[in-house]
Parts: sequence; C-alpha cells; structure tokens
Amino acid sequence: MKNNYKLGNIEVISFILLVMINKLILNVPYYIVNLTGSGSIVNIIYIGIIDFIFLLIIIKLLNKFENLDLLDISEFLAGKKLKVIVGILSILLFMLVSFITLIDFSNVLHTIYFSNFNILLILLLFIIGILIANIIGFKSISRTATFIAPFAIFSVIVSFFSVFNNYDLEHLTPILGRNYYTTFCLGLTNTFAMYIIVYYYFLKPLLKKPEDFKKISIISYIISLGLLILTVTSMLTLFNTTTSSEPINSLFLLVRQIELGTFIQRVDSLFILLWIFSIFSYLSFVIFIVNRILRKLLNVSNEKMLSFSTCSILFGLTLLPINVSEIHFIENTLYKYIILGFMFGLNFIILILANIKKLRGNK
Amino acid sequence: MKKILSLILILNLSLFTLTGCNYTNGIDDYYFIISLGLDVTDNGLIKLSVQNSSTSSESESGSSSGSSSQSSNYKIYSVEANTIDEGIAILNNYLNKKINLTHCSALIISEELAEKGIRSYINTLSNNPELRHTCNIIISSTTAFDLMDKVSNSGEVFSARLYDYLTNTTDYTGFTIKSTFGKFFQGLDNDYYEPSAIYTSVNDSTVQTSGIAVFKNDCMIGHIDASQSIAHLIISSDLEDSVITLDNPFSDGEKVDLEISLYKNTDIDIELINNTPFISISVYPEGAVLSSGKSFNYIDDENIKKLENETNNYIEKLLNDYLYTITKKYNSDIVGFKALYKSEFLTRDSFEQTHWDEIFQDSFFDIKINSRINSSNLFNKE
Amino acid sequence: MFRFMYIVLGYLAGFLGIAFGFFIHFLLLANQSSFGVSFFAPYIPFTDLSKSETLHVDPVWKREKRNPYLNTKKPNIEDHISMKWRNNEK
Repeated sequence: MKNNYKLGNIEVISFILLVMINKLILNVPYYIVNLTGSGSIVNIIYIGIIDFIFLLIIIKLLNKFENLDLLDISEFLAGKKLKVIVGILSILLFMLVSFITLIDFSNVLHTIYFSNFNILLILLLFIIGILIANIIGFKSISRTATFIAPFAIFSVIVSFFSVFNNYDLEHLTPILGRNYYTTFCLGLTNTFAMYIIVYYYFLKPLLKKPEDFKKISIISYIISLGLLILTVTSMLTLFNTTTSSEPINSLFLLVRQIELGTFIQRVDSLFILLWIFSIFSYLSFVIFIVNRILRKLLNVSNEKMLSFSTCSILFGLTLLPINVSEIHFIENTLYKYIILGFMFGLNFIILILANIKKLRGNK
Repeated sequence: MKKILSLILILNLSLFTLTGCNYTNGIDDYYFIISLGLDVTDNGLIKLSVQNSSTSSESESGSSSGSSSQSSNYKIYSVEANTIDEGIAILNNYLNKKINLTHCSALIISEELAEKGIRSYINTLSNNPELRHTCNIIISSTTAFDLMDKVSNSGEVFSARLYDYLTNTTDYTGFTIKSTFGKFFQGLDNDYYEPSAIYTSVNDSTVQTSGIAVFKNDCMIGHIDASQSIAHLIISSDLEDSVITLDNPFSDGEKVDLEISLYKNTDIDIELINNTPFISISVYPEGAVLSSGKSFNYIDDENIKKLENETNNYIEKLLNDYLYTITKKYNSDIVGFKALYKSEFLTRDSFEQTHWDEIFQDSFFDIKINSRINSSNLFNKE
Repeated sequence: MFRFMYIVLGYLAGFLGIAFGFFIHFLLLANQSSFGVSFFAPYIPFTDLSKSETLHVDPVWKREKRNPYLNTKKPNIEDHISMKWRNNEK
C-alpha cells in the first residue's frame, strides 16, 4: 500500500535531528540558560545522562513489542478505551507543539522581516505548505527531511563557530551556576529539552529495519545532545545571564553577529531561509504523525484526506489572539510541564504495565 | 491527486492577490544614514542628528583617474525630540523617506548626555533590528553635531570609511579601544565589567581620538588619556602596536622610541587578603627600537638589558597610574577583574559573599613586566 | 514553467514565498522515480555512496558492483579477479 512507506535508518535520524533543531531555533536554549545560568553546561550533561538511561530503559521495554507503537501497546494493556485516551492526549500534545512552533516562528518572521505583511498570511503559507506535503505523501516528506537535516545541522554548527571571536569565556564561570539546588534540582525541569524521546514511542512501526531501533535511537540521541550543548554554550558565552532581558529569538540574535572579515556580514537571512525549510519539514512530519494516530483511532483507510481537517484545526488554533509574551509564557511553563508529564509519566507507566502484563501472560 | 494539487496552488496564489495587503519597500524608499548623533538641549530634549552622504551623478561619467561614483558631500540633519524614535519619525516626515540604520557605522554621543545616563537610548537602539552590533560608539568632548560636522569636512571619499580613521586608530597607536555597540550593550547588561567607549576631542578644525570614556553603569564618570589607554590595552591583552618614548638610558637628555606589542597574553591573578583584593599582573611586552639618539649599540647584551629595564620601569609606572585611576578615582572595573575572579568559585552565591563591588576600590596591585627588545630595525649599531 | 511560479511567489511573499516554492518543488521531485530509481537516487534515500556512481565513475576494469539503489538480485557484476585464465597462464 502507498501509505505504508517505511523509513530507512538515515531518514529516521534526520527526522529526530530536525525535531531537535526546531527546538533549538525556538528559544529552548535560552530558557535553559535563563534557569540555570552559567551552570547550564553542567546541567545539560547531567540531564543528558539521566535521559540516556531513561532512553535505554524505554528501548528495552519497547523491544518486547515488535513493530508496535504506544497506541497498540495501550490497546494491548487495557483495550480500546485506553488506546483512545492515549491517542487523544498524544494528538493534543502534538497539536500544541506544532501550534507553538508555528506561531512563535511566524511572529519572529513578522517582527523582523515582514512587518508590512499580515501575520495570517505567513501562517497560511506554512499551513498550505504542510497540507500539500501531507497530500503528496509521507515518502516525499521523509526524503525532503533527509535533504534538509544536514543543512539545518550545518547552520547550527556554523553559527557556533563563526561567532567564536566574540565569545566571552568568563560567562561560563562559575561553572555550577547560581547554586547546587538550582543546577541539579530545579534544573531537572530542563529535561523538556530532550523532547525527542516522545517520538521514540511512535517510531517503531515506521522503520524498515526495526532491529536497528536501538542503534538509531542512541545515535540520534547523542547527536541531538551534542547540538544542544553546542547551542547552549554559544548562547551562554555570547549573552549575559545575570539580567532579565528576554530576546524574541536568541539564536537569531546570535546569528546576527556573524562577521567574517568585512565581506560576510549580516548573513542572518540565509540562516532564516534554512530554518524555514526545517520548520516546514518538521511540521509536515508532526501532522503526519497526528494523521497516523487518527487513522488508528478512526480506522480510516486513507489518512491523506485527514490532513485537511488537522491543518484546518491547526490554522484555527493559530487564529487565537495571542501575543509574544503569552507564547513565551506557554513555552516556558505550560509546554515544559506537559512534555515532562508525557515523557516520564503516562507513557512510561503504560510501557511498564504492558511489560508486566506480557510477562504474566508468558508465564 | 494532480487536480487537488493544482487546485490548492491556484487557491494559494489567488488568495494572496485578493487580499492586496502586500507592501514592499524598495531601496529608493529608504534614507541610509552613516552616523547617528545624540546631544542634549537646554530644555531637556535630545537633539538627534543623522548624517548621510549625498551621491552625485556627475562623477558617474568616469574620468581618466577613475574616480568613484561617491562624492565627499555629507549632509547632516538635526531635530529635537523626546526620544530617538520620535526624532526618526519627524525626520522621516521631513525627508520623505524612511530612515534606515543598516549602514550606520557610528553612534556619537556627547559627553554631556553621556554623563546623564544613556541606558534608555542604548536599549531603544538595541531593540532595532536594523542597527548592526558592529556600529561604533564614540563619545564627543563637545557635541555630536560638531563632531559629525568636522568629520564630514575631512575629505574622505568613501562613506563607508568615514569614521574608520577614528575607530581603527587603536590598531597602530593604542590611544583608544575598539568599542562597538554590541560590546557596549553587553557591558551595560552584565555586572562583570563596566562599559567603555572611544573618547574623542574636538578642536577648532580637527577631531582626534584621545583616550577611553569610562562608564559606571550607564553614566560616564570620566575619561582616561591616550597613555593610560595603552596601559588598558596591555592589561586586557588587546594591544596590537603602539609607540612609546622613554628616557635614553645611555645618554641624558635624549629619548628612545620603542614600538611595542605583546608576545604573550597578560596573566592576572586575584586573591583576597584581609578582605581586600590583591591583584598580581604579569605583562609580556616586546619592542623594536625605532630611533634612539646620536649613537647606540644593541649588539651588546648589557645594553639590551639596560634598555629592557628602562622599558619595564616605564610600563610599570604607566600601569600603576592607570590602575589607581580606575580603582581609586573612578571605581569602575572596565578591565573585567570581577569576571576573572568569579571563575575561581563554583557557584554564584559563594562569589556574591565576597561583596566584590564594595571592596574593588581598595584593591592593590603587584605588577611584573617581562619585556624583551627584539630588534632595532635596520641598524643594530651606529 | 516553475520559474514563473518562483517569480510570482517571490513578488508576493519575498524569500518566504521562494522557500515555500522550493519546498513544494522538492516534495514533487522527491516523489518522482524513473524505472524504480528515485530522482535523487544515491543520496536520498541514502545508500552506500562508495558503491554508487556519484561525482566520478570508476574505470571499466574497476566496476565490480552494481549501484545499490537498483536493488538488484546480484550485487556483483564480476568477480574481483575476473580474468582467471591470465593467472592460470602465469
């Protein structure tokens, strides 16, 4: 069937890295640095290790269920009711994520480049792009993402190295931040930065070689963590953490300062172009996941037509009157704790209980 | 599928044409300024001055000498307003074009305004996506308008390089620093070092850099002269090249000129002794003798050592003067000793218990100079 | 044909329009295949680039493997020592 396109290893890794890069584009490193100050690097390494152990546990638990994703496992655990509940919660999470991503990035574009343009048209352009991507099919989305991911990674790495001359290494000290409690206890909430773990619950049925799931997860996790450390380090060394100024987009401010000699200056629009591509790919992928979940819940044969309704709902959400400060509040508080609850709470408990049920069933 | 695709594409395009709210600004709609000046007026308003180069079409026909199409006519427009954006709006109305700050290479602030505090103006400009962070900040001893007027009569042909002779002098004289808007804003924003800017003195017909304007938070509290600027650059390891003149150790009444730079970054070590900062600084200048009187002999090791001792004494005196000026007189840490000291602590809370801001003024210094004389240019002995 | 679409999109929505156009164009190209081989063949979907003909083509005597994106039953065109009789003669 056309809808059953399977992803190769490189394609999956590209998707996960795109998810991470989109988080880096949208102020997540800034929120981390704002909370833990100069101790951010130690904090990221600390939560990286904790999340890695958590990821290994998830892979081990998922190994018992071949080619099943979270919805199928919840159906196995407690029947259709739990499947529907988990499905609806997952849809709500992904719609929230895509809504926040879209409206935040559109606001940045509107403020900096398109101040004469109506923001609704920017949003409409994104929505139509996502809609067309989903109608064309998952094969195109995955191949486009595989093409765009290296450029997006390159943009993050270049933005780190190009501004090296302006770095103030004194901003990295004191190395443990404000105090031990902030870095190691309060800083645990920064785990929301490794949001990619949510996607591992839904990836297995999409893989061409499910036996490589462990290898793919570990490689993509380590590269994502590396990119996060790189961006947080550049944010920390370039911007001040002791005062409370909040930029609209910290990575954009970083990229504005790239200057190689007198010829290469103000190359921020090139980076914005790469980020627009990555936002398009990422949102297309998220809407595809939402369509796949809806297909499983509603038993629809052709999920492509569901794109119309999901994209309309997404556009409707973006029409909510919401200003930049409210978006940042949602990103920094509500979104953070919802993701934490989803990653470590509901899904994990379902996996553990399903494994226990399977063990008892085998006995 | 193709039908749906084409329908969507047509819908997309037709939607855009129907709304008609697309408005783009072309280059002709903008008025690109080279510099922005801020002065204070008697009635509490600010005087905003903008400088632009007017390009003439006459020189486009080309001549045998190959002149460029830019002429050296610069226009300055001024307006009084409450805030910068209000002034820009009034100028937009007057000029019938929108002022664009993307090519602004200098932000000039008068000393009088700087002494009153400039945080609000810096915050306003940092919020503007057009202004580059590499735009230089210059403090004028008289008014910004006066400086812009004198600079425009300097005869410089290329508008992009109009302020280069003020801002790039530090590379070969060491008489000031490179102060950019981004660095100044960071200095205002953080509490680890105080901001500083280029200080220029404006005479009857000339403008020249004459030191560094010292700020405490956002108010200018004074300035240090050119020789102390060399000391500042030595301590912050930013000295490229500079010429110093010492007393000739071999013959009284004569002078020796040395071209100095640094062969190694300055080492700074800070510790607290009896709740007072004790800062030991090791400096590594290297020099080449430019001119040294009627006769000299630099083949002899003893002579070189004598000259090195004299250099050490001179630079030590220079650094002492500078350090006691910024601690005792101004109490303004423009070097960033606080930033260096905090790296010895694990957490910010433990660093804040030292109350560095209160004890900085009582700092005392131990300076070690390890100079070496490398060459005497063309002749070693005369 | 597409260049007019890019011109119109660029006029309407600036570089965002061009990025949108490029994204859609790339999606359409990624969907295309010729006799089962994808348009962006050795790169997307990613196959072993050392075995594929990409920027350069090996000399005739070195071409031992078929391109992996063809998904052939027999990946080898010829053995490593194809002219066995020459070795036997020696």
